[in-house]
Amino acid sequence: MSGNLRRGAVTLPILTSAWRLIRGNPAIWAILGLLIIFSSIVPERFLSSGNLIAILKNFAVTSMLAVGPTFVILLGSIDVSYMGIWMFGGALVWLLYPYLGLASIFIYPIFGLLIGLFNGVLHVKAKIPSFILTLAMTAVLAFLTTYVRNISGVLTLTVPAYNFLRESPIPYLPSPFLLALPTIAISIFLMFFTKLGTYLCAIGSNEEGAKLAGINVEKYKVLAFMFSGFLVGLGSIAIFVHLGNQTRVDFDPSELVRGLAAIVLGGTPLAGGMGGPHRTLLGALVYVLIFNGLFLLPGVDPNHLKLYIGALLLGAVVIASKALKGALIA
Amino acid sequence: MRESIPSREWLQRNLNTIIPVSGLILLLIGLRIANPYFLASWDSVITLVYGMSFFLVAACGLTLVILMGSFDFSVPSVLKLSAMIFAVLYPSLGFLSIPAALAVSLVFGFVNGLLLARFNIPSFMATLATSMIAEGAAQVISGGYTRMITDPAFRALSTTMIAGLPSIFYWAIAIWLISIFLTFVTPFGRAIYAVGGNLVGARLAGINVKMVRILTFMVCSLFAGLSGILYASQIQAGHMQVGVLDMIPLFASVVVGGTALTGGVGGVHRTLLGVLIIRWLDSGLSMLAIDLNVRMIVFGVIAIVMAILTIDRRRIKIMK
Repeated sequence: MSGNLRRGAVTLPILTSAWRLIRGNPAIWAILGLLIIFSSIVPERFLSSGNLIAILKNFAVTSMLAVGPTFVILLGSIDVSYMGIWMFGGALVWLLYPYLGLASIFIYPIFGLLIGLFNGVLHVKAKIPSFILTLAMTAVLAFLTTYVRNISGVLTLTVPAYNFLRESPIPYLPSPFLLALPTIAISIFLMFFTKLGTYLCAIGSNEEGAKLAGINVEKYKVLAFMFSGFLVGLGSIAIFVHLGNQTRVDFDPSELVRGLAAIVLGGTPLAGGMGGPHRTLLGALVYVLIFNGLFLLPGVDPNHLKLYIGALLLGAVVIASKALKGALIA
Repeated sequence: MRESIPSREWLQRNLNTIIPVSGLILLLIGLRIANPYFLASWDSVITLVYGMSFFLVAACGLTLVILMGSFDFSVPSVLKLSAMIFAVLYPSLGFLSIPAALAVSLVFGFVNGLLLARFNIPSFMATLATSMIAEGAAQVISGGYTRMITDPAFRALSTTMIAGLPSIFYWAIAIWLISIFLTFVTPFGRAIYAVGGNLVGARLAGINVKMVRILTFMVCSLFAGLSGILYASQIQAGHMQVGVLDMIPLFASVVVGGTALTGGVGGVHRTLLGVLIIRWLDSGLSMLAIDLNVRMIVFGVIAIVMAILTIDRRRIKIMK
């Protein structure tokens, strides 16, 4: 196989890496399968331009919640603070708009970066399990958002001045999707063109070994949380625009599933050490296709939505659990 | 040479006990000063007891899982599902709906344990998935409606007054005592501490780790189900809002009692203190007309701070 790769790397680098991508990512087969199934059962509803645009929008929302935390999952830790960053970041934009004007949207990535830094330092120095820490963080930020809404006496935290962001300059490509592209580009760059991705995989697969190899484990762990928060913050701009220039103000813990499901479906194991944001993008597409197509089928009751999401997540983690054989899991 | 009792070492060793006890005393004094009606009459005591009883039952189960070093995200959802099954089936089955609700809860606990023990899936992820299924099932069997039960026998389960206190209080204390007995006297309880304290060591010592994990999750879900039944009986209904906001306070009450998140340290006996602190704080703050969201923020911050204070860092090499 290595000879194959070397020959390919000289002659046809793009084709070879494309083949490797398809072989290493079962999610691509799932995407193709779902596309074929839904377009053969309900072609006129599934393949309508309105539905395809809706798929792109939902893909942007789901992937923006999941791409950042993938960097933390590479470590074998977990970061569920994305709900909190998304919700309270939007409240901050709303609060600061009277003072900063249109520039207040940039508070989103800065706020995400700060929360990520806080999470990372607390996780590394105080040694709190990352899931519990970031869950409490999400809860605190989310309830803070609801509180801001309650004391301000408005129904939604909407900033109408950003309406121009909702107009897409390119036909058929919705603006949330275009706004998601920078985040996707940055995450791919971090993963493949800096040493961060390699180091995170090394720490995730063997932390002691990484330390002995001279990697500053604590620094890279904090960096992973920071980039996670930053990317979620940056990506939340797309969700903010998608929801009509406002943020969500009521917290539902089951919404956490969306980001985690995209990561697991993409094939980044929860034990860390392999995978990456490119897989999470595929996982997000699988998740969006399943739920878009499912409710176009005749006889599917939207009341059962949570049941399906739970079953899908359960199936995904069970299939992904093969990678966890022999690991010590709490 | 005898060391003086409040020495530095003694303080450090007993930090996990000193913080909850002094916290409870300070809380009582503070709430009493802020609100002269707090605990002023027997009625207010009964209100506090109603607020904490169903919570204590669920928290006992969660404590067992955290002692084992795992986490159960599905406790509030199983609580809701069990309350819903009890209320939906009561008109046709009567009190036979209790075993039905408990059996469903046990199935959820078994699946949680199996996913961790057999498939090696991190417990928070496995229980997140099963909690979605429990939520979905509750939605499906109720259709999203509130199921009111007006039969007085249904309420009597929790609200019969015995020696001035409602019966749900005795249920809760009984469950609490059973859990203490389970953890301190039975081999199963000692195995929970062993698995939480040192997983590899427990396996090498010949403990059936898989069996202990599955059983602990089953006990946890059983208590969650029981808590749901008692709560449904207390509020005379099952509805979709039961347990929605319970995860953070439940988790906070376990760590505030002094049980470390890393497992093996603490115990169910401490959880009573934690539940008292969290629920009395909740009642006290809501009597002062503090916004629900602010209370939730307070619990989240308390949970993080107490988690930092109680974790035993000497034992941890790698923290995920």
